Formats: sequence, structure tokens, C-alpha cells
Amino acid sequence: MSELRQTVMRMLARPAGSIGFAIVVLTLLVAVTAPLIAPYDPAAIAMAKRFAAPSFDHWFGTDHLGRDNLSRVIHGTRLALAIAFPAVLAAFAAGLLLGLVAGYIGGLIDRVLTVIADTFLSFPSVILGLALLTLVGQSVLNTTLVIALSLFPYYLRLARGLALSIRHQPYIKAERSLGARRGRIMFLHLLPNMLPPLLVVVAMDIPSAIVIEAGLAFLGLGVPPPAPDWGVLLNEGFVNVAISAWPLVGPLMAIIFVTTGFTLLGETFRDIADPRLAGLGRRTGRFLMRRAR
Amino acid sequence: MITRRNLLLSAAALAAIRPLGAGVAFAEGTTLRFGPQLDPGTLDTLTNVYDYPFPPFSTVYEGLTSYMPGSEWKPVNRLAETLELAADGKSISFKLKEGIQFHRGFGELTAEDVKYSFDRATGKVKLYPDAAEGDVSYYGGDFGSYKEVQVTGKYTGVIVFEKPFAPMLRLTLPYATSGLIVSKKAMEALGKEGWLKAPVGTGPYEVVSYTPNKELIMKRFADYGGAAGQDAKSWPWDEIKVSLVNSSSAPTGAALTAGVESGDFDFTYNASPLDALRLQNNPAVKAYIVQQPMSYNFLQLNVLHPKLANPKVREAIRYLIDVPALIQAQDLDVATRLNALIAPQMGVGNWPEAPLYERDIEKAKALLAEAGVSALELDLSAPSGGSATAATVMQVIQANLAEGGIKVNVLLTPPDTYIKDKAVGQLSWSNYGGAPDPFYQFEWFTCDQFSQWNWAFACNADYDKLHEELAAERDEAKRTEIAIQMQKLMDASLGYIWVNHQVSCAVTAANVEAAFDPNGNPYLQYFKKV
Amino acid sequence: MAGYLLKRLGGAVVVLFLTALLLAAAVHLVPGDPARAVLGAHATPELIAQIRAKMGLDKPVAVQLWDFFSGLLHGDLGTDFVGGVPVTTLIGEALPDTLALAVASMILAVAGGVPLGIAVARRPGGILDRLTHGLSMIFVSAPVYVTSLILLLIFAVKLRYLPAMGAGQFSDPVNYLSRLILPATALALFWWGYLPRILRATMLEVLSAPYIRSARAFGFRENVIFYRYALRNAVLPIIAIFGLMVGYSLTGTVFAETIFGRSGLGTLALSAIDQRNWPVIRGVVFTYALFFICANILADLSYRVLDPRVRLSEEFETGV
Repeated sequence: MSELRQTVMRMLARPAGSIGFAIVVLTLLVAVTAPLIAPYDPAAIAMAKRFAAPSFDHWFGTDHLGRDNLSRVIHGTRLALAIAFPAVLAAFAAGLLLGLVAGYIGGLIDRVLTVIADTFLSFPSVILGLALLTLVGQSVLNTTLVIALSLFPYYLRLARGLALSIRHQPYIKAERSLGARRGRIMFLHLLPNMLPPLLVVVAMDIPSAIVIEAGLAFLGLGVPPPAPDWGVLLNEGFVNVAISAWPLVGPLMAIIFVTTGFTLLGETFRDIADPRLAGLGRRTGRFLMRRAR
Repeated sequence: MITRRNLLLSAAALAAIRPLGAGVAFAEGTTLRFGPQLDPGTLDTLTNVYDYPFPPFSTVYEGLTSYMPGSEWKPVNRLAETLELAADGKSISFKLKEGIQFHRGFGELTAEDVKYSFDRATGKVKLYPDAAEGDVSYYGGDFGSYKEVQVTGKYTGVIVFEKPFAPMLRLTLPYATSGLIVSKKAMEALGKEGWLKAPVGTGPYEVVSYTPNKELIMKRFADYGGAAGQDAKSWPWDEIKVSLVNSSSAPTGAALTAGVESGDFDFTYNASPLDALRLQNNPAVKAYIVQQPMSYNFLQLNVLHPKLANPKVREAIRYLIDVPALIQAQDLDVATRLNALIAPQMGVGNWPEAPLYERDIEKAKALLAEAGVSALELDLSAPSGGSATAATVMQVIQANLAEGGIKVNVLLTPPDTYIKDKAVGQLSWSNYGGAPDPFYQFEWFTCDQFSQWNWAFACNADYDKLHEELAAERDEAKRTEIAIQMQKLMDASLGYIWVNHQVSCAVTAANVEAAFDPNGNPYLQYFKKV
Repeated sequence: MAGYLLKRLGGAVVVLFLTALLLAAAVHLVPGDPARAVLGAHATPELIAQIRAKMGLDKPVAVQLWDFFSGLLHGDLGTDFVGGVPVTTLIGEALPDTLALAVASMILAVAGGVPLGIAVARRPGGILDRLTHGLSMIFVSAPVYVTSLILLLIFAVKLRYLPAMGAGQFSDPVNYLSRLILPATALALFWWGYLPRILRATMLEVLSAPYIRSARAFGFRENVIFYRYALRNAVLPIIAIFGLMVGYSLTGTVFAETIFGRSGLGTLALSAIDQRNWPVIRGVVFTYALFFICANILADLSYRVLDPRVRLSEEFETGV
């Protein structure tokens, strides 16, 4: 516990960390209290008030169906997190387990799993997401699964590598020579050592998931209406941009704000938790890049 | 779903942006440059994917009759000098205008060509002399119980049917591509390959070259017989160039109209209302919003689905839907509202006293309570996809029904079974294209259209019987009576909520005056230069 | 090295094969009837049946799979459902616009990012450094569609400076280039945030290296040390991320093309999805995978060549 507390204190000591922390806390607060702080029902249609400019009643104006832009962005926060967190955690859990198995047991299982992971990795996430959602249809669950599917190979690869390197550590060899069973070694010794670097990636992946999700929705393959998803808001705002630009302002600001906050926090966490990853991330940019894909 | 079309059309960011260096777009010279237009698949009257008189069919070919530009649904004689329906409705005798020439020296039009064209359309002769296995006419259905054409002279003949088929006069002859007349001599001389490269009709423009998905070039037909009127030769265009695109790469929205705005094209259509609204303030071009009274948007309720089987539930939904809001959500004028299937513009079959349902939430709630239904959850989809604004409209429907306590799930990508299986589909936002005969408009709602276009799964033997009567009846007043009865049956089935007829939006260069047939299809040869 | 390359290429072939198999099999899972989607609102049953036959949808699944694979071996991706155009033709028409955008964005990225990085590294802790540090975080975090929409709003809708929509024609180069500015900038912004960051970090690392210290001791002027010795070494990592840039640009173009109404691979894919035109979807996705795999191999290779340290941490490779 004190270790966690120490990590948090060290993160807060850095300006990037404290700013990121503040943004993330604020985002979580908005998501939790959305129905309380949103001035209107995000789905309430009022055709008489279409494309209203900002006013005291509607701080960010209204959209093409007269709905309150601000309320939609606020409720969208909830949805963004409700998809991003489960997606990343599912990718993490699946990648961790399969990677552990592939790395520790090796052999044919390893090869099969690696080829599967590589096949998924050979598609850009957005393209993979588009193709898969076309196949399985659009829903919140499917979007979550598709994002998890496009992220999990990274975890598999990473977990496999970690398992490979830890497995050759002297103390594991000692355990094995003492006759410890495979399951015991995998879950009691390998797993705990693999968690910290993987958790760093989890932290860095939350904004990636938010961005992929909104991107798919923007392209028309997101969650079904009336969910005020940020990507859907961008899509609808873009369609009507010739009439009013106001519906775009809120979601654009929200995405920049939230992704920057999570990235700041994630990077600080990475720098503190695992300097090795920090170096790698900085050199290859792979972890940053992923969201762009 | 929220379509790409929807996305791009918006990219209306181009809102007022003029392409760099472009002033007012002007058509120069005597070439009409038109596009981008969806490739018709083939230029054959029977295997194109249009079926309706979109260019270039209305320009290359002519039929016995045709509709004229404007809003009046009154066929005028074109190749026919006279046309007469027999008293029993089972035959139509015609006399052709004399001296009408086919393109490229394939000789004068005779009654034999009419016979050949119609036999070909109905599969009584091979599609081409050297037709392959899959070469069949797509549109034999346009001819009802067609039996034969009896050729009684060089220019005269009789079209004979087994049973009376009234839509022939309003739909097949003047409107459908299948009713257009082709040259028998040319078909025999050219064979399939030659024909598909450059088919031969009698129209005011002949095909110079056709490159699928790329370009179609037509030039003024020097020996045009003038079937369309005396002024045919004074039309301003020596040449018409159509830029064709594959449907996979067809631009939409601002990318569609950009060609006209930058002066690369003189005309384009199939734009959205939003495009037209955006361009109305742009002096460089002219934007058109043309009514398409034959094409209609409506909501179908699957009457056989367990959740909707109770008529009170369907009636409640009817009172919950805010039709004017649905029309506004499409960026359209509420004046396009439809109260029943047949628009008044049709001239026949309209039901003027059709009930106009005003929104009444209290009444709807009472009906739901009477039905003993609570916590109802329904699926809504737009199975024909395509429509740019379907997603927006469905959100309004969703919000409308929510006010009555009905939760609606919008399915952006419905499964195949949604329209095929009566136990799956529930609410369907539908956009149907139509044609100028009530027989045709009613065709989609018969029992044998289950899992095709009858998404309401409303089947009524009386309706089907009336539909057949409508085919046989030639007196317009009586046809209207039948049509009204059929619309009453549709109304009573509570399977349909009528919303609006569609509009067609187009853009021309500032000095071009476009012309459209009464359903908003452009009529290239009537375009004027001003 | 050659062995490694061979191993990677072999892996790539296996992965491509699996990709193709997945894509070929998926056509039977696509919801929606492509024949209907293509024909629109008034298709007769006869016409639908004809079109389905033309699309080959009435053949058994195994036959369709075989057709696809035997075609693929001849470089044939099948024909588009509607116009019967070969998918390779469609992709061939769309690719130049996408590549032009990708290349333009990479040129802008380097042209803007590298000098900025040098300026920042020259005076670490200076005003420019602090300013870019904050901004770079935002540039790096903001996805392409956000930067594209913001540029569209500012320059096209508000200021009306630049032509926004469409890709233009190669035959009119000035116009074509002017239409590239906004979308290419939207894609380059990420790198303007990212390149200075890595350049600054590696620069500082290099400047504190022993050989630079000795150079200083020998009395070389600071400018000579900076530009001649340090920069040369610091630029290496940038060359190493070239493969990643290719990958990033290719996917970023999907959004940039959509927002700026450009023709290209991305918009081709989206309209095909719209129409359930599966041969086209399949072809485009396959093309992306092909490029992506190449970009990734390129990335890892250049990396290995330029930075021997990487070999030690092979476990972090992205794979194919």
C-alpha cells in the first residue's frame, strides 16, 4: 500500500503528473455525476431550437435536432470511459494470459499464438475495427470487443517477451529444479513480475482506446443512437458544419482535454514505474503511436 | 447507419468556399458536361440498373410516348402518331410517325422494331442474336400479361395482352427504360458486343463512345426525326459528355458538387437538400430542389411481430410519431408531407380525404394502457440503407416513442433476416423509389412481397384482389376509386406511417437552365443555355 | 541480418495468407444483402437474383474461396459487385491520392519537426522549450480527425483561405498541391509534437556523451560541436522511425480523406462498407495490411541497422 502511495506522491511531484492527475480526476467526476451536472436530457429533441447559437440556456448551443450540445458532451464522457476501460482491461487480461502461456510453455502453442497476434497486428486498428464492425454489427459491446481485439496482440507480445526473460532468471530456474509445478511458477512467480510494466501500458492505452472508439464512431461505425458518443457528435457536427460549427466545439475540446490528461498521467506513471519502458517508448514511440492507428 | 454519404455531404465545409481561382461557373461552347453520374451498368434498355428514365436513356432512346419536363403527369406521343386503348383494355393499337431514323444509318423506324423491342423485353426473343446464358431482361414485369405485337402495316400495329394491363400507358411506354424502342436491324448487325459499346435508338443524341465507369460521349443526331417536337434541332448542345463513376467511388456531398462549382461540369444531380441549401447562396451556380412525388419515405410496422401484433400498440405508435419533425430532420419543407401512398401529383389514385394523424401523446399512452403493454422495447432500422439522413430520422423516431414510454433500439446494420423473417423485423424506416402508376406504387405491399419489400408483413387478400383489378381497369375515375379502397386497407392495417415524398436536388452552372421530368429526373436534351 | 530478414519475410507471407483467408471467409458473414444495397429502392426480385448471380453469391462457399485465392495468386483481387470493375483497378485509381497525401505529410512532418527539435535542443529550458513542451503533449494526444476538423473549421470555414474539399487533378499541379496543405498539416501535427521531443531527448543524451565532452575540451566551438557532431547522431533515431511514419500516415489518411472529401484508399473503403461491396472492402483491407506489414518490417529493420542496442530487447518488437 505504501508503495502505491509513494508512486502517487512521486507522480504528483511532477508538474505533468499533477496536471494529468487533475484532469483525470475531473473526467472521472464528470462521468460519474453526468446526470446531475448536465443541464438537459442529452436525447431531448426540440426541432424548434435547431442549430441555436450559444446562449445562457445552452452554453454551447444546440445541434441539428435541437439537443443541448453541452449535455451531450457531458454524457459522452461517461460512454467514452465505459467503453475504454473494459476494452483495455479485456485486452490486458487476454494478452497477459495468452502471452504468459506462449512465453513460458513455448513450442507450438507459442508459434500459433504469435502468428495470430501478428495477423491482427498487421491491420491498423481503425481498418481492423471498420472491417470487424461491418461484420458483427454496431453496438456498445461490439465496439468494446473490437477495440479489445485490436489492442490485445500488443499485450500478448509484451507479456510473452516478459515471460521469456523472467523465465531465465536464476530464481525461477531454482524453483524449477526444486520441483515446483508449472502452474505454480507461472502464476506465483512470473505473473506478479510481469504486472508492473504491463500496467504501465494499460495506463497509456486508456486514451488510445478512447481515440479509436471515437474514430470508429466518427466514420459511421460506432455505437447506435441516441448514445451521445463523442465520435457520433463529431460525425453529426461535421455533417452540418455548413450550418453551424457549434456542435463540433464541445466534443473536439473534450477529446483533446481528456486524451492529453490521460497521456500526461500515463507517461508520468511510466517514467516512474519502469524506466526501461520509458526509454523504449521514447525511442520507438510505439505506445504513443498505437492510438493513431 | 450514418453513412459516408452523410459524412461527405457535410463536408459542406465548402459551405461558401469557392474553389481557388474560380469565379462564376459557366458552360462554354456547345458541349454539355454532366457528371459525375453513377454508371448504369450497361446502356441496354433491359439490363441497365436504373429502370427509370435517367440520362442517358431518355436522350439516346425514345418510346412510343413520354412525359414532358415539368410537373404534369400527362404522357404525350413521341414515336407514336396515334395510340389507342381498345374498349376491352386488352390491346393498344398504334401508328408510328413516318420518317423517324435510327442512329448511324440503321434505317427507318417501323412497327417491326416495336414488336422486336417488346418481344425482347419479355423474353420472347433472345436478348441478343448471340446472347449468352445469363443474358436476360430484368424488366419483363413491366409488361404485365403481354402476349404479342401484331404488325398490321409498315407503321401500324397492335399491342396485345392476355388480360387488360392499364399501367402500360402510364408506366411502361412513357417511363420505364424497358418500353424504349431499339433497332432490330442494328441489333442483328452489331451483336451483343457491338450493341453494348454503342447501342442504336432514335433519340436526339447518338452514342459516340461509351467507356464503362468513365465516360459517355453523345453527339447531336443529324438525322433526328423530330419526334419530340419541331425545335429539336435548335437545342443548344452539339455534344453531351457524361462523366461516369463506379458506385464504389461515387462522390457525394460537397465532393459531388465541387465539379460544378469549379466549372469542370455544367450539371450534376443526386445532391442532398443540405447541398442545395448551401449552394443557394452561391451566385456561381444554380441549385435546384425538385419534387419527386412518386418516391416516398415512410415507416413500416411489422404487423406479424409478436410485439406489434396488437393493433392498439401500432395505433399508439402512429399517435406518437411527430411527422413534421421527421420531415424537418431531413432538411425538407413540411409541404412534402404525404398522408397516404399515392401523392396528389400522380393525377390518379390520390385519396384526398386520407386521415392526417396529429401527434397525441396522451391518446397514445391511453392506447398502450388499454393494450396492457408496458416497458415495450422495439427495434428500428433502415433496411434499404443508403439514405443520408436515415440515422437522423431514426433518432427523432426514437425520441418520439420514448415520450410514450417505448424504448427503441436503433440497428444501424440490420441482419439479413430483418426484412426476410417476419419474426425479426419490427420498425423499418423505408425510402422507396416509385413510378407514375398506382399499380406500380401498390406493388410492394402484396402478400407475395413478403421478404422482398413488404416489410410491414401486412397481407390482405382483398388488397391483392384490388391490385389485380387496378391492373385491368382503364377508367381513371374507377382506378382512383380502387386505389382509395386500397389505401383505406393500408390505413386500417396500421402497418404504415406515411411521412413525405422525396425531393431531388441538382446543381448547374450559372448559365445553364436544367429541365426535369415530373419525378425530378433530368432531361438533358431540354437543358437550355441562358 | 539476412537470416533475420528471411525469417521476417517468411512470417509476413504466413500472416498475409491468414489475412487473406479471414477476409475471403468473412464475405459470408457480412450482414445485409449486397445485391439490395447496390440496387436501391425499386429492384425487382428478378433483378436482385440476376445481380446476386453476377456477384457470384449463389456459388458454394468453397468455390468462392477457391476463386478468391486462385485470383489472388495472379494479382487479381476480384471484381467489384456493381460495375464489375476489377478491384485492383479501383485501388490503383485511389492509391496515388492517398500516397500523395502520405508523402506530403511526411515531408511536412520532417520539415517542421526537425528544425523545431534542433531549436529546442539548442536552448533546453528556454522559452521555446517550455512552450513546445506543453503544446507537444496536445499535438501528440490529439487524433488525426480532431486536428483535421480543427484545421477545417479555422482555415476553411472561418477564414476561407484554402480550398478544402476534394483531391483535385494531377493535371493541375498548383491546385493539387494547394489542396494537400490542410490534410497534410493535420497529419503532420502529431510529428511536430513528437519529433522535437525525441530529438531533444537524444540530443541532450548525446551532448553529455564523453566524446562531446572531449571535443569541448579540445576547444571546438559550440556550434561546430552541436551541428557537426551531436546532431548527426541525434538524427539517427528519427530515420529509424521512418517505417512508423509510413504506418501512421496510411491510417491517418482514412480520416483526413473523409474530412477533406478527398478520393483515396480510405474513402474507397468507407463507401464500399456503406454498400456492403465486399470484394472492394476485402481488397482495400488487404492492401492496407500489405503496406502495414512492409512498413513494420521497414521500421524494425532500419532500427536494427541504426541502433544495435535494439537487438538486445527483441521481445518488444511489434512482430510483423
